[in-house]
Amino acid sequence: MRESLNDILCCPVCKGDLELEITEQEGDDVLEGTLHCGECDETYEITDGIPDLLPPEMQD
Amino acid sequence: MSERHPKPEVRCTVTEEEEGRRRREELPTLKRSYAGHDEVRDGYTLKFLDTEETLASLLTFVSRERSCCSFARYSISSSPPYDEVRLWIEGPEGTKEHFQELIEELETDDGPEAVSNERLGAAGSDDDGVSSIERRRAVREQYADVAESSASEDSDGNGGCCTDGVSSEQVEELSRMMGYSEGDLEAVEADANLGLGCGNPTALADLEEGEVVLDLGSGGGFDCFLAAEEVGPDGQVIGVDMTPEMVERARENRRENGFSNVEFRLGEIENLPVADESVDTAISNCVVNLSDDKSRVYEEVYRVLSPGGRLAISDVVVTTELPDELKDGGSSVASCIAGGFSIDEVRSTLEETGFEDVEVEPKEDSDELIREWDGERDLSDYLVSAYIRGRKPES
Repeated sequence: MRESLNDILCCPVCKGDLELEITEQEGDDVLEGTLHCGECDETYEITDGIPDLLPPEMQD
Repeated sequence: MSERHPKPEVRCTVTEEEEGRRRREELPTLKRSYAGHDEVRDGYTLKFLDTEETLASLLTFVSRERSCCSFARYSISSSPPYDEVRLWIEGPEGTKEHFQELIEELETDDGPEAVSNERLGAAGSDDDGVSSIERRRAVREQYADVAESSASEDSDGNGGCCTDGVSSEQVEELSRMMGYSEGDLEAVEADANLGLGCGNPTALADLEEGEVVLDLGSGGGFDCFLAAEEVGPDGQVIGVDMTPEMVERARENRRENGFSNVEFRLGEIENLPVADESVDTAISNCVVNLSDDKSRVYEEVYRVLSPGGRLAISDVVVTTELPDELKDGGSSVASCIAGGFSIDEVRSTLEETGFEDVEVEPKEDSDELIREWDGERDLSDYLVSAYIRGRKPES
């Protein structure tokens, strides 16, 4: 996912803003990292450039 | 039935061993290709999908029946355009009752495909205790199979909602029926197009350069890439899909197609991971019908649209109540759309959500496409593909 597009994302559960933490990056493209919701304290993984923003009960 | 030949005539002399053989050998094929029956005066006409395999099984079936149930007359007929083969069974009074069991057997779907269909279908109803999460998981599993089978070019994969596994030639043919132009098909690498849609939402969205577009249920990414061409480098397209295998494929397709203004996220359309008022146009192709909470999907779309933002989707809607046999098992397609909205329900839901300028326009000639979805039944009797539009008020 592109770092510059983080603004358009939100927590699927409470719609709170997400804080991006980058582990691996290629230019503007975030390959690995996490998105953390400050409001409901849920954390979403970014794996291979894809943020997993499924609600927690739907995550594998 | 004449009085000189009382009831004993109608009886079956089949042995357990013969019955077992029939269950193993011809019944599975006949069940797969069974397409319904008509009652005749003292019997039935059973209809099957006309394939060589069906014909062979029918022949074996009749040759066995005429020895164990010699009271009845059998006739197999197949006539142009050979899409259906009929088995006519008639006999003395009581014949109908005797073959009732066979019909029940044919109507019970218990193959391996049916297990997943059953799960999908059952999960759709609210009163059987199956949660909506389980239903979503089931839909996701089915689409994961499509993503993977298409990736390996295996055309025998399980079907998604709108088509069974198909070859790339079939995808192109289906895509033309959906309303994609030759230019659209050439603009994007073929792998992104899985032939799972029911229309061409980018064609009805009137996208403008620089817009932010959200695709609900983006699948292989085909519509996202077409939208990306329209919104240009200053625009942005975001595809949301709940199937990891689909999102991975879409991302690979993005690499191959070289679109830098397209992004994919794993997410649910009922719980969009998209910020309020951040999207200019929401598109979707034959996905909302799969949701068991369509009102919520439209509420979510309304939330993420900017004031003045537009909804422009293609989806199947139900034109008449589905018969129970379709709701309860039949094909994967039927299981998916068993809970579909009617045109009026779509319209009223959108208006209640707050959308203006709501239009639900049945797509001309969509029956041609919909007939392709199920080899056994003509679903165009119950479904139509529609273009659905709406606008969020400016203020």
